[in-house]
Amino acid sequence: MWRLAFRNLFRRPLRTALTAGGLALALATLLSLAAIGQGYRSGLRTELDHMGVQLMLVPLGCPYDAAARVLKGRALDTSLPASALEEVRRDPAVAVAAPLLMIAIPRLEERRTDLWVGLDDAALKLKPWWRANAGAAWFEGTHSVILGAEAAVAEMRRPGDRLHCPEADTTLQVAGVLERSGTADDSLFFVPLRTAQQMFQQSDRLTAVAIRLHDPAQLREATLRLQRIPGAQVVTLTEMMGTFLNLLGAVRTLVLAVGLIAVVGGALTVFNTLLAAVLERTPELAMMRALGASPSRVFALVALESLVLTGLASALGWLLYGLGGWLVERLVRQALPLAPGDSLLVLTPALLGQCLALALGMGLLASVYPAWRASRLAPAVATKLV
Amino acid sequence: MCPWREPADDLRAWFPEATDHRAETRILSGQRLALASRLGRMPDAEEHALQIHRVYQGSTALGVVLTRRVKGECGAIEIVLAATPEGRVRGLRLQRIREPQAVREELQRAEWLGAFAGTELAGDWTLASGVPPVNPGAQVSAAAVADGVRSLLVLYATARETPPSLVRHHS
Repeated sequence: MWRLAFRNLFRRPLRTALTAGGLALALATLLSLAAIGQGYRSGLRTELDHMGVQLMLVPLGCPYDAAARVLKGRALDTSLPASALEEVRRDPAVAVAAPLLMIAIPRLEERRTDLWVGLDDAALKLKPWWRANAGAAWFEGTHSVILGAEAAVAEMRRPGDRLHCPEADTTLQVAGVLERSGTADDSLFFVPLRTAQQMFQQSDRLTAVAIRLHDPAQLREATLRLQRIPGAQVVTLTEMMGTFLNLLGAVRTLVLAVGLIAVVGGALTVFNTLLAAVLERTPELAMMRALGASPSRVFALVALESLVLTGLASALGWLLYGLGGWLVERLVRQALPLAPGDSLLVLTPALLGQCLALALGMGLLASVYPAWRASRLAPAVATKLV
Repeated sequence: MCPWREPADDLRAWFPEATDHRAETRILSGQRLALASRLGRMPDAEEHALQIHRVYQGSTALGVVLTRRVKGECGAIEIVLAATPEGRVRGLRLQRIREPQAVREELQRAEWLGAFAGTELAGDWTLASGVPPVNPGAQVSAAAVADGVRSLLVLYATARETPPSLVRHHS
């Protein structure tokens, strides 16, 4: 029966190819979007877990935008007074409070932005993965800089080299280059907090304070106390992740709906193709019935053709995903907040299985009417048509 | 690979009659020994391939534009070099430079950059001899620029002499 199903499908190779191609394109899109959703979720969770931060004190404004910008190493338009740090450090629940000053210097003609981050040694307690690939892992003086791996490559710097900041008219000595982390830190220039404040004339100003508590169970009480610091607001990382995942969930539902509509459209073309094939092959199917094939056997033959067709389309869709998934990722990445640095395309066997099951299920559903129609052909029809 | 950031402006300055330009990438890793012999040192990672932007007026080749990132004293310096199809320098521009202001001004002086025009690979590339002198504070970066220009001419000459078996064209 398999041979017969294949032979019937390839009797009209162009029609079969067009049907399979359309369905494959829809499946590839669905697969890419589902894989991106999966990748975004796991990437975001990994990045936030990696940070070891439970709270973030940011200036007043949209707290999620502020926290997202800080986590991704982007500057804010507003800042906190340095006195906020002292208040945070006085809170009994706070184990580590790491101040950050982030300055973004856009270089429009180079289509990039220099990101300078001022930090003090409290930051080391929140970045256990912070390791130097070359040179020292911490500043060797007030005028030293530590470079992220990408920043060092872009500026061709090694430990001992000098690095100039034209905007601040300051030349610094490269103390070390960090190991590649796969996060936004890879493209940052890290300097001592006071140096950053002097360089960019931001004395006693901070962009944010990253906070770790002695006990995560104290989160609620600590948040309430820290909220009282004037000009500042507190964002919990759990809240922020929840907000982004909710946003992603809404976008994902919309996008998956579009993908599903495309798959349904593909299933309708399968239905159309099968129905046309059944009508074309009426004499042949009737002859099969006259020669003793049972209605269920004829039904199974048409259903099998549909499964073969959708199976081929699924394989082609997988291939298209492999070839063009990066393109969908690139488009989606631009619209995602706090997109993780690693690839967003995470295709798990379960996801692949679900997409395959969906395609085959749609194919089977699309074959019901044509198969039923074929199975209802009376053997007598064959004698009329021969 | 170092990008070419301002193609329209550079073409206007160096090849005002240009109607088209096309990029191709030449892989030169097979010519490592020849490159080492010409450069006088082992080629670095960026010198194993060369992106050549060929400039045309209709079907006539006007010249090429080559780019390279070199290690300045206080940061990377990006060089854009225009040359004739035979490899004679037509113009030089520093499209990105992070040096202190005094060094930046010294290296971006029209007379200093202009002195490279007409030079060839066979010329003298020593600073203050074949290459015009600069202030003492700018010597490290000036030497890096001069070496970068020479290295581009070496790569281009090697690419011209190598059968283009590994060419990737870009529109």
